[in-house]
Amino acid sequence: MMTRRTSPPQARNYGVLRTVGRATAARAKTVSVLPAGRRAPRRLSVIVAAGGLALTAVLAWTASTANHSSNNRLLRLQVRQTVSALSSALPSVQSQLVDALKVATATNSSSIFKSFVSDEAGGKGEFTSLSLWQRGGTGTKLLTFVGAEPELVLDGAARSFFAHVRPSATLQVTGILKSSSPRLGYAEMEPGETHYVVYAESALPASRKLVVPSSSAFSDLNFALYLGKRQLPSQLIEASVTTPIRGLHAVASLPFGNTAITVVGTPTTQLTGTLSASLVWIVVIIGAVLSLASATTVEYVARRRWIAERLAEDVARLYAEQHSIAETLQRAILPEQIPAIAGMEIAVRYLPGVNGVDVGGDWYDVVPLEEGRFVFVVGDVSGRGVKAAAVMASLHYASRGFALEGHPPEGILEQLAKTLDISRDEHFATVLVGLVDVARHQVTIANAGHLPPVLCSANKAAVVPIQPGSPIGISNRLTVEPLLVTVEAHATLIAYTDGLVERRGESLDEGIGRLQIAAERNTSTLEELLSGIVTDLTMDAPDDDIALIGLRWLD
Amino acid sequence: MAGLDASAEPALRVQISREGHVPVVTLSGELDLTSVEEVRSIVAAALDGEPDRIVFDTSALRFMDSSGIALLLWAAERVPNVELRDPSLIVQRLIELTGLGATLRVLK
Repeated sequence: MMTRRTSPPQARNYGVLRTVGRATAARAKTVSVLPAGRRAPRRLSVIVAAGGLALTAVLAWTASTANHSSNNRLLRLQVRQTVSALSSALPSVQSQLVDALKVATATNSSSIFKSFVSDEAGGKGEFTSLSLWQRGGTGTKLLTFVGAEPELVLDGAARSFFAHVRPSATLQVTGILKSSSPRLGYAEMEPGETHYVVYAESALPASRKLVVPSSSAFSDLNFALYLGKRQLPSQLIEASVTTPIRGLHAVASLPFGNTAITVVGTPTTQLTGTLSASLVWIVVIIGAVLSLASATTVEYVARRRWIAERLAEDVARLYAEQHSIAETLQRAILPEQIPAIAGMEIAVRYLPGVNGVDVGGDWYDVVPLEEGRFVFVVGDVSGRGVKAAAVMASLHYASRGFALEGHPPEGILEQLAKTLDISRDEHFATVLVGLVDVARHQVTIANAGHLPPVLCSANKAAVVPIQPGSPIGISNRLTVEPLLVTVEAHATLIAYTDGLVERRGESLDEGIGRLQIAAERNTSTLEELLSGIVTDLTMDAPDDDIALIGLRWLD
Repeated sequence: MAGLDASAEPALRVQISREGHVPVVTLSGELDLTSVEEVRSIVAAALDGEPDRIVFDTSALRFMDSSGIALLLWAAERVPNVELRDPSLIVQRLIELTGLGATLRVLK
């Protein structure tokens, strides 16, 4: 018949059933959380770093490709320009031979030919050797020469070469003649000519070393020149670099008589300039630094946030545990079972408030005495937390002891006042004590600063006009005036703590008025009446703790 | 935690002034468990000069619970005379119902 209402689930965010053991575990965890020294980087940081580095790699690749492509294009352009410069120089070779051939044909005199070309070969002349040959039935014979003797004669290959020389508008080239000083030979036989062939040889540099002057427009390149369309080592005319050329190079050819000259060019430096070449490395370095800096920042922020979240969780957990310790203490002190009193119906309620995480020091008690009498107590220790609950415990047991010793209500309060001192204990308490004589329908009430009880008989509720003495803890010489109340049959007395009636913006009298109205409702049992009162007066979760006791005479 | 709800204006305003050597603590708004410690530290600072009287002006106090009573009793432990000046009805009834009319001098 006697029940206690437990806290509604939504009124408390913090688990009531937490144990001290779990509190210890939480503290241990707190310790392990805070020194967040060496930990694997967060996944987000790794993603940021990887993303940044990937982007850097793509940018670097793009810059490198662009630079490479520009370099290639510039190289091809310069090699083509070289070829075009060369090709403009070649026709003068042929025209000199054509002129010499015309003189020989017109004069039929090898001596006139010799004096005509005497300046063009040997010494300062353009050719190493210049000669006039006559074609006859037995082959082609050397008539005369200026400069050095033709290598073709020494070589003995003249017969096979001239056998292939035909009258033609193009110069006919021998190929590179092997000797101690390699030469290149070319023959000219005009179309329509039947007798004479003019033949010239140019010495190639002994080492085949080509020197590109630094003032030249092509000083950025190294070259290799080959006779013919293929780059045969035996047909290398000259080169400014070791052949064959490997790595980046460009190739172009120009026609030369009945063959061609092939030019291979390779850059000696970055044709696009140093900035373009360094761009790749600039991108790589800046990209890597930015990626790592971003990842570090992300890591730092994420870690700080993680720590803050853990701290907040721990603080909340510690609060919850602290609260649960106080609440456990309070629930241990509040009697689970109210003693049954013959002729009375008694019901109680305790509701923890939500204002703050600490419990208050509210309590109630019923102490059966002999001869159909009992004492009831309702009290409220100021403040909250474990200390308030401890003060409540001492007052609770002290009042029970004084009641059992037979002190009247005012005596119980006066004795209690000697046990508590606000200056020492930092708490005071308001306490209401009543001595009930069930059969006589009499209640003797004494009040130390507590709110007055409400008496309800014949569905009319009234405030018991009890004058309060000062609260317990203010002075050890408390004097209170008891009040004797005689109640009607089936009367109900309701005593409570301030959490039930106080509400922001209104006087306590208004709250007590609401309690009176709620107490007048028609209910079959006292349990239902208390439930109705709690529902009516606490619209939502109460700020403060509430203790409530109802006493109803069964006859 | 209800008292920590982010409301635009503070639930309680505290003002300290002096009438001669007597500190006057003017409270307006709501004095409850969540705000009482702040007031206590402010009042503690005002008691440095060891005055023999302190005045609490509670005329603009819309709410006060037992934590407010505890504050006044705490002051009464330290200063011989604690006066309540122009208490609002809410405060007045709380003092009367708590039986502290004799301990705290109420000046209307």
